[in-house]
Amino acid sequence: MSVEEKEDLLAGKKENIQAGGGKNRIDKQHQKGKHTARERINYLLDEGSFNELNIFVENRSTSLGMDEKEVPGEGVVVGYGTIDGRLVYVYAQDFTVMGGSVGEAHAQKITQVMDLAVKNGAPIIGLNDSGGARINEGIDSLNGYGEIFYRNTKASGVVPQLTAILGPCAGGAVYSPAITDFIFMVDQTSKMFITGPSVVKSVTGEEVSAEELGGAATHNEISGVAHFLEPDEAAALDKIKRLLSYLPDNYQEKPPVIESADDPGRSTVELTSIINENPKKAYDVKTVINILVDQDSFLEVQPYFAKNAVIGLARLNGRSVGIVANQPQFLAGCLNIDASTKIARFIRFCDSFNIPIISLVDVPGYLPGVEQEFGGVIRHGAKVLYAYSEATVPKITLIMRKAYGGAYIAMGSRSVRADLVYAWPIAEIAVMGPEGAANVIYRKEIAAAEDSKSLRQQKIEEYKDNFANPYIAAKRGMVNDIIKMEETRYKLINGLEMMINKKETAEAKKHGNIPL
Amino acid sequence: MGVLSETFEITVIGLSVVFLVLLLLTIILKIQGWLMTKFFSSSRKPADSINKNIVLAAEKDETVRHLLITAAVRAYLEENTINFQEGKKLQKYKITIEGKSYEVEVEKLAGDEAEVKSVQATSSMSKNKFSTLNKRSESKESSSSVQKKAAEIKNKAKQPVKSTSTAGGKTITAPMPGQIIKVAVAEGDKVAQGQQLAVLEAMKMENDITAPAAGTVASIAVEKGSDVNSGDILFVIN
Repeated sequence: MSVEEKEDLLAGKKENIQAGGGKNRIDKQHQKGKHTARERINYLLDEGSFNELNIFVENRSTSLGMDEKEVPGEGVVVGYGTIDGRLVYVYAQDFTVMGGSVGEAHAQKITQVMDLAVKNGAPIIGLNDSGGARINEGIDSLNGYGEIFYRNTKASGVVPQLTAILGPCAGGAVYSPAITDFIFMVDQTSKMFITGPSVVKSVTGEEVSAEELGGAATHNEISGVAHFLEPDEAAALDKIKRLLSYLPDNYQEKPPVIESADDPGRSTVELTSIINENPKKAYDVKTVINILVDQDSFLEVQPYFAKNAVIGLARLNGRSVGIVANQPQFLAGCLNIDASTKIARFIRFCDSFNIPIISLVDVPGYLPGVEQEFGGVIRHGAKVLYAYSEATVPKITLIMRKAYGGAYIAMGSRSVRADLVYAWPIAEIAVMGPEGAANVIYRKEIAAAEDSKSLRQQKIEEYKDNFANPYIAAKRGMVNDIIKMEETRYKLINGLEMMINKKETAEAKKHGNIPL
Repeated sequence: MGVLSETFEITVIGLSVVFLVLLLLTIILKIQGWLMTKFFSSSRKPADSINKNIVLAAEKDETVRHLLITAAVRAYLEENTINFQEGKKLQKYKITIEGKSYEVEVEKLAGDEAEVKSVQATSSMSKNKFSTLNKRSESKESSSSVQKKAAEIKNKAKQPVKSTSTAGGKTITAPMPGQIIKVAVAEGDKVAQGQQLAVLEAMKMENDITAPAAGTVASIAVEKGSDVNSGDILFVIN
């Protein structure tokens, strides 16, 4: 055969594999509103930048009819390319080939690009769409999964790992996305559960649909497993691209700076009209965030879970920052189990990738209740303290209004080593609210008094004037400065720029034991 | 030529001096290292034997103590009669000597005689074991009732965000314990999504209770001044 003939043969082989499971199956995908693996990769990556690897890898299984089966590409497309000119590694499961099921060779293709990503320090993006483990290959497929989970763990904190669930993801397969940094789900299309509805029904008798059990809404609103809920695949892939623009390629680099037209010294005087004089009235902290950060730069993470806390990425003067804020509109901005885990994981992610943390505090305390106590609010709440204390990135805290008790300490206080702590003049930093404090401290006087109600009111007012303010904390240096609302953005950016070269090394130990 | 050979000589001497000094240093360091290892290994041996001595001494004391205690109890028994409990043959006594507590078992013999059956040192540890065992069996009972209550609460509170429908209606529950300070609607009112239904004062804040979707107010379970707990039903919207 001449060179030309061999090259023709090669082209033919590649075409066969690229056709995946055949036109019929591809049409089925499209009918469901889903795309094929290669279509998704082409959408996600810069045009023409995709280099496919290991296209010819085949399984060597002979059990249960595997030696008769054609499995083009083993049901997964892997390789590398660029997003906005930055190198990324990507794998996309092909639902048209044996339902995208994972076998030994399928897993090997994925682990190859994961290894490359770690060695070359670039993000890994997984586009999951798989029925699960390939039963025909037995424990080889399980072992394949295990190899993927191991590498997810080893790569965690080394390179950003993002997973988009663009179809079913059931059984053991869900553990790979669970270990990655962010999970993107598509409404009605994505499904994630360990045991599906039929198994649940047969074991516990509970009747529940797949969408209810593990759909995008469930994991975004109730379980907190997913981070983003998108209406369709294109939106999910766009979100991935947008998220990546805030992140560095790996843990050794700083996030990219994207110049903003937004003036760093812009006055934020409109905050005075958003936040009501009456400290009992709520406001939307997302409005506050959007005013403070560079215009349109706030990307909220987990917007539907634990709404009493708001987290997300944003930019200040072009630099990526992680925002952690209390939302007074939900549960009065209290911290509870869900909010604590949400905040703590986000802080640790930002710390892994050199993203400074800005905390906006308006927290009246931890949510009381038997459900919280039985649920372990003690160990979940401790995660926030641990995460703040452990982080070595620049940490700036702004105490906006309430900061009471243990929650004040947890939300980026001086003692957990926030580098700069600012407070507004309306801030109330104290051990307890005035009512509670008056009840405890003046209990005897109030009980003995003739007119206990007015004495109590008087004591409450006294406490409010003397203690529910930021000046006592400022006297101790726990608050670096009390600033006017209109100069907030300027102060935050100034502080951030001042700390841009902050160096703090972690202690030499194998790793801490964060309460889990 | 002369100058060259001179400098050559000097260089050779200089280098050999340096070489000798280095050699000397290495030898000194090696000797020191050898001495250090001798020191440490030798210090281990005496320590072993010292530990053994302490252990033996303690044992010796223990047996001696037991003999002393038995003798003392015997003497007591000769002079006094012990009132054994009805029908019981063995009686236990606690003795504390120098902070150490012992349990002495006395056996009733024929007539009014009694004899020391055994002397046992009761360490504080074994004491605690008994008390914790007792506590454990107690808590076993209460823990099952605690578990039941926990399951109840978990089932009640862990409802999906899409609140449970009762006969086609949406139940709106209190998110926190607090007091209703305002009810903004009446039964039969049509409400829009996000419309304020009530204000709940909790955690130092006036929290808005809003309609999750448009509908009609089917029933109101609270009034101004009602104290509510997490999960208490406030409204049903159809």
